[in-house]
Amino acid sequence: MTGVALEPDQAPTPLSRDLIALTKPRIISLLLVTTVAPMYAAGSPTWLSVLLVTIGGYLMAGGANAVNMYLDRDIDNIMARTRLRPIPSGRMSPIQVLAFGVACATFATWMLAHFVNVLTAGLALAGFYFYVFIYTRWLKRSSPQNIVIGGAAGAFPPLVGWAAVTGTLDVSALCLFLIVFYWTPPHFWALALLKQVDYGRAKVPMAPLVWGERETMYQMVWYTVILIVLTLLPVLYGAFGTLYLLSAIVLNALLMGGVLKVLFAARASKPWTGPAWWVYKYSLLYLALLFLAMAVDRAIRR
Amino acid sequence: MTSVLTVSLPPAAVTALFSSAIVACVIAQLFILRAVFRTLPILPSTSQVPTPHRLTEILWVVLPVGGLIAVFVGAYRALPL
Repeated sequence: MTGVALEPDQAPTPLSRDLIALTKPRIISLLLVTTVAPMYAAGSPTWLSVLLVTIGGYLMAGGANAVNMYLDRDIDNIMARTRLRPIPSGRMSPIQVLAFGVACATFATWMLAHFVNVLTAGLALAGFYFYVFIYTRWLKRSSPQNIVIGGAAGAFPPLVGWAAVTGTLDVSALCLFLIVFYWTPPHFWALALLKQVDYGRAKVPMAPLVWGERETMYQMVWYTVILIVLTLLPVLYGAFGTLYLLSAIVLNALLMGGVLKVLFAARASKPWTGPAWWVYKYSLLYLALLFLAMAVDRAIRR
Repeated sequence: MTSVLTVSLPPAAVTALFSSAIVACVIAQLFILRAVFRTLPILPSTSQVPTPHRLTEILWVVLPVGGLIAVFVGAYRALPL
């Protein structure tokens, strides 16, 4: 394993960079944490099964993201946040992007079914379809509940990880699914509050545009309340221990503090964009650390 | 070492915490549902953003409650009482 650094002539070409960009690697990195950590919480996976699930999960989520860019190509050109993506910038044709996305998802399904198990492949594929059809095609442009219900797509990875190790699903797996589901609104609405002009221009009915800023902030609080309950519930029935409990208490306190700071700043007519950015960024760290705490807790108690 | 790492509570405390968890979720879920009734008219008629259909919105809010009920039932069965 010497000389792993890329030579200048081996540097990624623009096409390979675009293909990687289509998969949204930064988003997938968090999805992979919420896939792999449950594997260690559910049992003792081999390094090979972790590798296979990681590759399969990346390809499935990457495929879903590519198909999402194909379906959203009309509004990606309008929003500043998405204008530089491969299709609106003209670097790739829509059909190329669609073919890439479908190919990734197809290969991932085969790989997971063949080398892991059919339930894992089925759950990963269900996440793909949910993201493409329920979120992107249906809810994104028709309802402020788009990222709530659509958030279920992002909640499939814990089920995938759990099923890969146990071959089945139980109450803990469902609890992990709901943790990601109820985490999505406070996380995404923090961004929606900041980017509402962009979303309005693209006619996407995000919560702040439909309900108003203040109500969206209250909703973030209520979803965070349920999220906190769900993160602590597994401790009650003994699924996780002290290490996880302490981690969850600290992480939850910081998240709720951040969400309340956004609300109180708005109520006092003070600038709330700073706290909203903090919530958006911290919530990413929150989910990763929470899931890592689950895996470590189960590992040290085994 | 294992005992330090494991949370062990008396059954009465487990029951009290579990009941509090349900109450917290019910209250939060009611406030979430309230938004659908309270806030849809906020969208100005001149807005380019499509107006959501109220009945569908209620359905989307109620749907996740099924998941919550399932997880609470499963958790209750697993409680060390």
